[in-house]
Amino acid sequence: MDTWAGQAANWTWNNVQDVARIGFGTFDVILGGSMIWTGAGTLPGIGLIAIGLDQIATGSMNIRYGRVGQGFSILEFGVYRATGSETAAFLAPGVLSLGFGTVGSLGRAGMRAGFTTADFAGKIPEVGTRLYGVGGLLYGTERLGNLGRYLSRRSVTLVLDADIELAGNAGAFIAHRNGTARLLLRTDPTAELVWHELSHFVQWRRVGPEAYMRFPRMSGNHVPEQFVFDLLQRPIRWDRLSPGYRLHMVDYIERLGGIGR
Amino acid sequence: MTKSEAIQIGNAFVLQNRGVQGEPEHVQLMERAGKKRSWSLVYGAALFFPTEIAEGSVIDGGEYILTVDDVTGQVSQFAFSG
Repeated sequence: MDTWAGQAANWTWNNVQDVARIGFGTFDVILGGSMIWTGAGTLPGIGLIAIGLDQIATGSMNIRYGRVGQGFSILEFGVYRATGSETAAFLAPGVLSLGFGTVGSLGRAGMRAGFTTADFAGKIPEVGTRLYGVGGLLYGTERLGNLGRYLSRRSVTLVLDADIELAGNAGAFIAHRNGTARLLLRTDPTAELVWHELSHFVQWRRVGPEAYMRFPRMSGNHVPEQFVFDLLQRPIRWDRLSPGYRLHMVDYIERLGGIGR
Repeated sequence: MTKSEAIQIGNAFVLQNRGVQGEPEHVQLMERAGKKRSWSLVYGAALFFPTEIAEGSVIDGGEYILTVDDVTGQVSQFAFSG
């Protein structure tokens, strides 16, 4: 087979182990990056990226030097030296990836419990258009309970029925100097209102309490509210917002002097 | 209506409805096609959470946002703030 396609097929066959190694490594890096980005799990994400880069580097080196899947990666070499078992060494990246991925998935599931609309249809029959004039489905008592437990494990207290404390009609996110926070909502919040406050939580958790508290909050440069706007403006989320809330988002960010792109 | 007149009306509304005396953090004239000219007054959460502010906490959301009609001076509360 001396055609181009034949040579490519031969090359792939001869390097299939290392091509697979690079493919899995790339997947790990992407998955790890997404876990860090979404806040589902920073440490598992870093672990996955490390394993992925280790695999990509090893696969590339094996192909480059014609070792055809014979070279240990750094991780595998370490496991081999520790256990004396080649089998354990070659299984280690897969087992660790699975472990990190599972931990990250659990974190992601927790985020979903508080942040997506996947399960609100059918569970919450009442449409909240009577509330606040911007429409949207009510978040629902059951999900608020789940959200409260999720947040409490992350040093955030969910305060429901904060009607008296809240001068405006929606909610607030209060970051305290001791690294804790409170998320205040009024009675029967809509999903959009909860997402708004949760977006503050996402940023708070992503950058850390101290950095979050240092963000500028002035007209024309209100970093937290701009972050919320940008996060909710992403196509997948934006499509789930009620038309009234979309208008509200633009109006709100304009009133605070933000830039609604 | 001038900006200061709009602020006076807004401040009186906040005092009457929230029992708090204070000035808006942001004031701007809103001019939109097909809509009445109005003033947007944003009263920051610091007015309503003095204890938290004194403790050094930072509050996002919780503003009290008013719209003052530029012609009639009628006050309405913005849909909500977050």
